[in-house]
Amino acid sequence: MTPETVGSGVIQGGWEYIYAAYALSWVMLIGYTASLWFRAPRGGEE
Amino acid sequence: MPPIESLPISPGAAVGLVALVAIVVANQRAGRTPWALPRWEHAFGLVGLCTILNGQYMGLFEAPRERMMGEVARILYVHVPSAWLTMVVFLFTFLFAVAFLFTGRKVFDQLVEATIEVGVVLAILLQCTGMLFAKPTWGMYWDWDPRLVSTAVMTLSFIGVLTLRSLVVDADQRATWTSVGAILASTSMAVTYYSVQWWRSVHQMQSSPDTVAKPIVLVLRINAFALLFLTVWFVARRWRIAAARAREDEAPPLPEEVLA
Repeated sequence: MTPETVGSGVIQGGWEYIYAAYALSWVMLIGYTASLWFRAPRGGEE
Repeated sequence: MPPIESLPISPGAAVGLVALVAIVVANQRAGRTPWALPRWEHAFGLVGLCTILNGQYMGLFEAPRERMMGEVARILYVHVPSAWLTMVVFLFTFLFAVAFLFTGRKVFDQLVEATIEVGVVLAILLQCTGMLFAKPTWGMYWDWDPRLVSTAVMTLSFIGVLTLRSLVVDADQRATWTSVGAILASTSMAVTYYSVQWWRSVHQMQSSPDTVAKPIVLVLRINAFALLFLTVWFVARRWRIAAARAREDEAPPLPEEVLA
């Protein structure tokens, strides 16, 4: 992003950061869910 | 980004319907009540999953462009709920730690362990999404800004408590030290919260529904409630792991004839 692309005063573009943030949230939510599943007590708990 | 045509059904509703059908079919095959779930917290997990699918879809495609920040403001629908939930979870860590020190009940120690771990996961998500927001808006991923530094210190403090907990062998000592450490680490929460008021910070000050446009507040709230439901599920699941480990610790040793 260069200064001339933000001449209107509004930040232009940035979808790569948006997608990265949403993807990261899913990676963390799914990753932590998986870690809980692997560590869950077995036998008589469920 | 081209506009996306309205979906015939929201993503959360679609996943929710499929999950409900799967639950009913599985329960009927097992001869159980159709709506029964093995654990109460799974209801929170399912509602949280459906809500976050809707919330993130709205955040990505339906929420309006922000007047100054343009499209990148959509990152706030992930970043801000994770900030709120991090503080809420660490606040509960503090309350459970105080409750343990006053009552000595093991359940509070297990909840301290669970909330610290979940809080650290949320804090890492908070900081990573914050960095992804900072790059297009501030021009850099990281700055030695009071809010950023205090959040990092808060996260590292609670990681330190978890590390301390893993190093202590004696169960009673471990529980006491964890609670004392958690209370000490909780002081960093106040510093983090007030950092934007106490020092000059690039980070914005606390917002309220009065200072944010209504369509943005709505999507923020949906995502916040979604993460709240998922956080309840995370804490409950992590607490069950802590409780199972405590039972293993307290189990009487096997008789020698069994070991021989």
